[in-house]
Amino acid sequence: MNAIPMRSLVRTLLCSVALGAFPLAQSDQKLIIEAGRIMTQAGPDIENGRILIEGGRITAIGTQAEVEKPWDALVLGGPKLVAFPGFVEAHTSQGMDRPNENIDVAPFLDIRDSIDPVAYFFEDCLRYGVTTINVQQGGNCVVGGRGMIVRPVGMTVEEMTVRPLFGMKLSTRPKSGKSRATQMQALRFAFDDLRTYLEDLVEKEKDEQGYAKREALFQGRDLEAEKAEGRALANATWKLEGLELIPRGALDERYAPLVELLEGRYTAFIHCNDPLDVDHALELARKHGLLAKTVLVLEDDCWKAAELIAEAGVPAVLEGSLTHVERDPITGVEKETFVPGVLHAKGVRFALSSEDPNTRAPAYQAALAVGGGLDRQTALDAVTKVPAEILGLGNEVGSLEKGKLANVLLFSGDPLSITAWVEHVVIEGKPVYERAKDLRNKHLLEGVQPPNTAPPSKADEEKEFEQGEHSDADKKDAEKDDKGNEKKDDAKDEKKEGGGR
Amino acid sequence: MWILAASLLASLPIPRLTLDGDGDWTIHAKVVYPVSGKPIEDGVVRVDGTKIAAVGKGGGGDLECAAVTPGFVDLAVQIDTGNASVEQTSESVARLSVAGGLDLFSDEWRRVLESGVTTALALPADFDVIGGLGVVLKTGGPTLLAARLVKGDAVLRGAIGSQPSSGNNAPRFVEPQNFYYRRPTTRMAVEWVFRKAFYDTLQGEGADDPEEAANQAVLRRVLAGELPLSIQAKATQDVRTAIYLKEEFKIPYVILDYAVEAWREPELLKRSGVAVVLPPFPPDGRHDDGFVNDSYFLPLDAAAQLHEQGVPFALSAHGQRGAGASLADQAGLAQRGGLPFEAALAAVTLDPARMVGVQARVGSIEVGKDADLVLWSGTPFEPTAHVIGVLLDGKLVLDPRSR
Amino acid sequence: MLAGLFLSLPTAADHLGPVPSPLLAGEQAVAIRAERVILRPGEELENGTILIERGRIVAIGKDLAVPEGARVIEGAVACAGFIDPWSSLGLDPSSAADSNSTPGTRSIDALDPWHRVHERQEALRGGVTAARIQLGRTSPFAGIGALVQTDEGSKPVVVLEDACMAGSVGITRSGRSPDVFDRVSEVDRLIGALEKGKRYREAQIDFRKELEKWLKAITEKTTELEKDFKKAKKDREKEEKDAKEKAKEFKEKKYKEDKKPRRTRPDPDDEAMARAVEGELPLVVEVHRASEIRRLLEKTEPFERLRLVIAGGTEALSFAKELVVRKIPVIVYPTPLGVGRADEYEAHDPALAGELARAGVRVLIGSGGGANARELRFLAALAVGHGLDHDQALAAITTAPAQVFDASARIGALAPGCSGDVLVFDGDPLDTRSGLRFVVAHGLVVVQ
Repeated sequence: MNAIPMRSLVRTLLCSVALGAFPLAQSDQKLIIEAGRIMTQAGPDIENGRILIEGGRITAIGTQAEVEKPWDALVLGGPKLVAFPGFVEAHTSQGMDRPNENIDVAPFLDIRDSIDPVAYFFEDCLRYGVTTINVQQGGNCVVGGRGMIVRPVGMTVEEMTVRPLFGMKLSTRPKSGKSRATQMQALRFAFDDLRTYLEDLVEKEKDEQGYAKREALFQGRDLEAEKAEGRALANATWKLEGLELIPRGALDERYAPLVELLEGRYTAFIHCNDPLDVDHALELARKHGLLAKTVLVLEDDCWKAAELIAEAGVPAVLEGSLTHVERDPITGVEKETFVPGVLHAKGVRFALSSEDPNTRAPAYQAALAVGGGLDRQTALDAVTKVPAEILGLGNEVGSLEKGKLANVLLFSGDPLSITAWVEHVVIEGKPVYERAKDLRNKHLLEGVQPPNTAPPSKADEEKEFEQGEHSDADKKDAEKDDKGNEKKDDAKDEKKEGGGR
Repeated sequence: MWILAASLLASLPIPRLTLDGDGDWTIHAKVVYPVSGKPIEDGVVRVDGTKIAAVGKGGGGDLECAAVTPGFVDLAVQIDTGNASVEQTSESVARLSVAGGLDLFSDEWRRVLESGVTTALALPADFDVIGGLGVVLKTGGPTLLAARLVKGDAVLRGAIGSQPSSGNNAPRFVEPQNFYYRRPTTRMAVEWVFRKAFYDTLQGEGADDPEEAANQAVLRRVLAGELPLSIQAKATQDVRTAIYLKEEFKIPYVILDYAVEAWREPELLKRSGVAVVLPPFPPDGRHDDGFVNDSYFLPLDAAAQLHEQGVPFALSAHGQRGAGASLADQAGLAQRGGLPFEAALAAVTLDPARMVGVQARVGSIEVGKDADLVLWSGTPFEPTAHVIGVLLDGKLVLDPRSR
Repeated sequence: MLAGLFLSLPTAADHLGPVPSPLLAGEQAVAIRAERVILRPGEELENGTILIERGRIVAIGKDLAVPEGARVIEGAVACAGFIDPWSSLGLDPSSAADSNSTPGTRSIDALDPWHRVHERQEALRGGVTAARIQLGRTSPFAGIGALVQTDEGSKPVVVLEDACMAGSVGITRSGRSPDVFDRVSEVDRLIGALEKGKRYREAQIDFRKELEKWLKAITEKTTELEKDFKKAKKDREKEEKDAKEKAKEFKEKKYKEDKKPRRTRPDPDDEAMARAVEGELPLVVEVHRASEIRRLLEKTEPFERLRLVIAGGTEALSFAKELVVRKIPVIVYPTPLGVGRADEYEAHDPALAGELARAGVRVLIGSGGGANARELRFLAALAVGHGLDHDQALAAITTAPAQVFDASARIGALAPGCSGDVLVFDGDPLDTRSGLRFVVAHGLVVVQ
């Protein structure tokens, strides 16, 4: 019998304690947020509203008449600002150092070893108002590792953690170097290999027990029945006898996470690039009883399989551009499809993501979705409510309601307008971002003189200009033309040669 | 009405096919933005044939929408046949026009039209120092240049910086200069080519060569102020060079194209009176120079800065595609950087029209002008709104009723 | 001849894939009347009618009663839909070109109904209603191929998910340019894999036998031990007491038993090869040169149940006798020279089919493993022009592929119970001047 590996035991303990046990360090400071309009995303907007925040959560929300301002509360906001719940990113592979592992099947990996707290991505999340982020392995894998849910504040991974060991990444999109056939072969093998391992383990245990029994009989000893220290495999489609004989700590680290996946411990994020990948992903999920915990990550033309996705009742995260362009191979005519429109029409629940580098901000994504024809509420849900539910945090984030975490944004105008900026970000009751103090944003907006340079002074300009003078003939022409002008120019002592018109 | 239209047509030097409109349209919108005047709430625009017949308040219409703007004018569409659209046997080919190098069958035109751009300036590519003449044309209609042309010989195209010299290698002693081995190979040599061209024109040198004489004829028109000179100048240094050249040769009308860093030299811009065409706003502010290991910075408030300083400018989309890449999106981003809405609207309509001298026909919704209109589903330039209809020369090329 | 056949559904079709759902097959019945009904090459019915309902042929005969509401099609010649035995139609291109496949890779995983619809449409227009699709055109081990009916829709119609194993030896296109020693050793590598599969299967059988024996022995032993337990317990207590009194160490009796046999680790690649060794799946090997063919034939002889099929076979004529004796069919690709990159060893000689057939070898005609199946008819016609007997040519694209790949109960011929895949020509099918007027694919009229 293997010695129970300490790390997996500790990890199991950690996991069981993990739910909701990673709050942002709090002070006793109360916070009041005032705004000309509060978009609660849980009912009608509140005009001239006020939010009271205590201990990191919203304890009261309503009009200024309804919510009293405690004398010891910090006040943030103003009548021109619009309050909005922090955006939720349902799936991303950014903010990591090299998100893809070379090994095909690596369920034992944990993203906490790869997250880079100082990555620009997290800085940008604050700028765009993304307050809850699900970071997962990259899609260039067969079975990737486990991800985690983080907040974009903190200098260490521990500070950033909202929920560790959340979600596992799989991919039916071929890993680089594989074709679709070999990718499916590898995926199939991952689960078959697991089955072989578990069956062998159970058989070995049974054999040992049988041997012990016979030995005892032979030696004339009484043998106490061994208690089963493990648990049976709790999966609807996997029939595996005898797993209860194996203590869970004895499972090899390389296989234990897959067992946990089968038992519904992790949400399976399956990466798809193609409607065929969607086919395969749903088939895989059904075969292994994972459908209830599956989320598809869609790129490219996966929208063609929208009916299949709706039928399976599985939510989706949209990566890739909102408008898919394809060229007919015969006629050469381009066809554009508005992807969120198709998904919504077929009844698929989806979240938008910030993968496209041209349209990173969720607010902008949602605005573009509205521009493409999606109704406003569905577009806003796709960056708040739906991703929150996908992450199992539907009761904590995604809207401004009493009892939920105080993740609040203050926009300078309507969040879907191009001219609106995120002015303030509050995460779990703590103000963490203020645009007025954001130096990088200032540079992007106003530009900055490069270091060790200065705009040329007037004297320098003239010198440069003189050096560039052409032949004498032209000079004479110039003087002739500008004889009248020259006098005027002399009057202004700065300008010299006949300037442009 | 028709006399005005007819006289406008008669004043154009280039023969055009006259077009029939679709018939008469009446468009009713919650707001009409004529650009030449204040926005009209609950406005109506009436189209008669290919021209605008009336603009005013109230009434119903065949076509309904939330807002109407004039068709946009993009001074940089880049829909051409690539490097075949510019003659590269010499670095200075002022006499040649890009007209022959345009691919009117490309489906890019349709995409640009559906984003609201009805008039475009097509320029030769920037592989030459003086690349030739650009034309202003409509982005839709029959696939005949004669039918789409608004103004032939609209600008003379120039380019400064690393692009024009990028295809050249230093001449070798063993063979005469040819297409691959010739000057200019440096930025200063590019400037020299410019200087030489204008200097020779002023001196009348080399005019016995018929091609050179034809080139110089065009340059003389530029010097006389009959033809604007559009110089591509991305870097701060290039902006300065272009302005010094303008002042040196007293070129009356100069447009700085793709002027990424023009914002760094407000004094020079004001003093010289150049007009500026801004490139698209990239998400991180950087425009890469495709040839040297350099990039230039365009802050989001560049348009707002130019507006404040009173420098005439236009926004452009440069044929980019993708989310946030159209001309209307650029107007939105310019507003994000602080440009007021009216200025943003003008920067994609009347201001670019003025820069290339077609403001008599396009750029605003006024009686007698071409019926080029864009119908919106919401406030123009907001990402939550999109173009639902387009009229071009009075023809409904994008039908709002089917969307 | 065959007048008034009655409905008779065969039962041997159990191993084939499910019949397409009635909706896919078309609600409407189809009746096809033709002056010549070619049931199979060499068997014809004059002025016959074929009745198709719910995707299957229910009856063939003269003067059949046509049910009401049926679509009636008339033509000059009717024959069974063509089967392309060497194709990658409908496969995702990265998989079709994958050179890293192993014996366990499955072509059915790469069947992509969502894209390249025009390829399948063209194939249907050319009369190809089914194909053996295979990934890994350039791979030495191309995995498991499938037999699929051509369909434009988004749900594939599979006849056999596992139709064959495949591999290749000594091909020179796509980067591999082995010298003569390498090529010959490729044969050895293939044989090695076959032997590994054989040993795997034998190990599995041995294991089962050993396990049975061991279980029997252990059960007997356990019963014995249980019988003797009371006595053993008493003995032990006595010994314990003795040891305590005499201050001696008490040692347990050593118990020995035979070790339980360990099962062979499941290996999908070996499993696939084992199926080929057992003859469960035919093994298609693309090979061209005489030296490799010789070695291949020599080395595969010990595998008695192996069903070898040669694809390509440029220089196979010299081995015709052995091919006949061992019943090894050859799939040829008689495309005219100059089409594509002609490798001198893949000469695509159009006369090869005729020569092999005259020597008694069973010949199949395929489109070389690409996705361009629509020209199959013309390849067969070309072979006829170069000496292949007409009926044999027609068989090469209908009954022969169906038989070799174990699907003759379902496709390849016109018989009750077969899939409703019928082609209607206005002349002989292999005459290039006749037009293909109608194509009925599993009961749906897809081309008219």
